[in-house]
Amino acid sequence: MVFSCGIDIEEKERFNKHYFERGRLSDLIYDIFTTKEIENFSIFGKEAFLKGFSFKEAFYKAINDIDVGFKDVEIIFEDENRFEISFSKSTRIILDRLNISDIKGYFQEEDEYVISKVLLIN
Amino acid sequence: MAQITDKTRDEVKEVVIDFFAEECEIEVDEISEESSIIGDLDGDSLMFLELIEIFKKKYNLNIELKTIGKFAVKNPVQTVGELIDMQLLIIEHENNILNL
Repeated sequence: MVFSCGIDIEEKERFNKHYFERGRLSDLIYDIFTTKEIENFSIFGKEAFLKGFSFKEAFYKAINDIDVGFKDVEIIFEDENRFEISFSKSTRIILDRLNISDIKGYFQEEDEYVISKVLLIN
Repeated sequence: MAQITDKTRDEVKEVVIDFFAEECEIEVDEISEESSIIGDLDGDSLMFLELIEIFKKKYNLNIELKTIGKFAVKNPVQTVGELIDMQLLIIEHENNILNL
């Protein structure tokens, strides 16, 4: 049964402006992504950072808990379509409390936008 | 704890309004403290995060994004003026902002 869902839409051009201005990564990424994510996304390019950010925003909307921050959920891409999701200990406790047994993430890519959907299943 | 003066407020106001003017591609004098961030300026979380980063660098702030997020959820802002006031609180209290 679906417990909740979160949807996020990010504009590619705006995201790239903020995160890759003047051809280098903005310091903002270190507040948002884990070291493992930064290493992983660097392999897959700009789009991975955008999808990672959008996924985190969608996850936050789905879980709707102020104790969950950007680094409490980690997404690691295996290829363009497959990824693994993991959580901090504190977020795992919140998910257990809500009886969430599965998290499903979906990405939809358009010319100008990336759309992320996250479903929390219990 | 940083001391907030009229000069600090003027600086923060200038940074915030210049930022939105550039982001939204509108003239500075079209933005006031009463402007609605979402309704008038089409603002979003990406802009908010970028502003936080600008102020973290400008004032060498020691504050975690998660702390600001918690504060923002409890104290949502709607207008440019409210956002300026929030930035001033962040500059003044940094990681202690949740104790207010």
